[in-house]
Amino acid sequence: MALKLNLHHEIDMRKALKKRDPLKFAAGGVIAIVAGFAIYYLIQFGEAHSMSQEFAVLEQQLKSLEPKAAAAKKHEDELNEAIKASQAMVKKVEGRFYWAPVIASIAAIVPREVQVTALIGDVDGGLLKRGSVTIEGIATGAEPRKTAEDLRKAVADCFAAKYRKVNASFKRLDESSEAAKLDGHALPTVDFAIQVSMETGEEPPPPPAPYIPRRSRT
Amino acid sequence: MKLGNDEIKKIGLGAMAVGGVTFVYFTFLLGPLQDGKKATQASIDATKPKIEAANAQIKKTAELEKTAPAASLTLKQLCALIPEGSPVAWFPTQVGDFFKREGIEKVTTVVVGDSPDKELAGFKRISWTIRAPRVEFPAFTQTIADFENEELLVEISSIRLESMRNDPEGQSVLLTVNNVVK
Repeated sequence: MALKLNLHHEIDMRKALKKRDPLKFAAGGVIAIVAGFAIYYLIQFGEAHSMSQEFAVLEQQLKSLEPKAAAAKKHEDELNEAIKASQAMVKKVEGRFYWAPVIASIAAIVPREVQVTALIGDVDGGLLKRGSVTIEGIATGAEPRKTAEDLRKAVADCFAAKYRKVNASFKRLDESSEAAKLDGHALPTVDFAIQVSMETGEEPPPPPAPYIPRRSRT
Repeated sequence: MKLGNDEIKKIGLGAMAVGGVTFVYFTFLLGPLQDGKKATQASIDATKPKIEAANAQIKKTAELEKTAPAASLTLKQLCALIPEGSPVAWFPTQVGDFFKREGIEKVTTVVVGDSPDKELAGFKRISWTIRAPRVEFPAFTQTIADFENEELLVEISSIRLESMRNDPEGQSVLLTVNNVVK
């Protein structure tokens, strides 16, 4: 067996010790970490920069849009005001109470046994209109009271077909001393006044429910 | 392998160096950068809705502009029915001319009062009484219908039609009307 002698064992040991120098490892580790940190920082910096640029673009865009939007809002308000005024005017014109059909209806239902001496009508209100019509006259016939009552019913039925909440009642129904001549016969007469009330137009919105505060439990 | 004292010291020093670098990195470099990014992102998030709202407002107004002329045309047409000048100067004449065309003479129109119109800003309502000394009932129904159709800004609020004692065929009429004027 050959004998091997290593006369450089001390040099080899020093070399081996130098190879596994912790400071060297630590320095390498630090450099690697710093490089990683630097790369990560650069990526983050790039992102931050692109975000700043995006924000600058958006800010510029907003700066140019804001005056336009403010002007548009002002113009919109003006247009809405004009539209609202127009709608209110149209509503006013279309929501008027028309008297011609009222007079025509009364003229159509008054029988030949009745002479109307006065017709008084009033209407009041905005969109919801409340009206009243008073028909005064003289009724004749074999039973003049029945003639007047038939007219009252006819008026009530006729108005109920066109208006809401129609109520027709006699304000006055008195015997008259005067006699009327109809078809050559002298007939008794009655003086009457029929008052008709009605509603037309838009119904007002229902009132809000009253606020009832909750009682706390004791 | 056993570490010597010298090596342990070097490892400790290395660890301290790594800790120091990490601290400096996060505290003075990455931290402020991240904070800046967060602030920028917050600003972007706040700006985007503002831009969207501004664009929506411009679009909304543009769409309204398309429909507005048709709506305001009606108002213009109705306003064109109101003559220039004081209503006391033109309304009685206008009413007199109308009834004359309908064959009713001697119509008098008197102003009762005026008040601002609650439903129409910039307009006022004038009340008038129109008195016709003699009309004939069947024909007068048509006259009233024509008046209501022709005078769109006038509403009859009260009508009083009474027989005349000395003229059984004729009736006297008193109308109270409200007229919308500027």
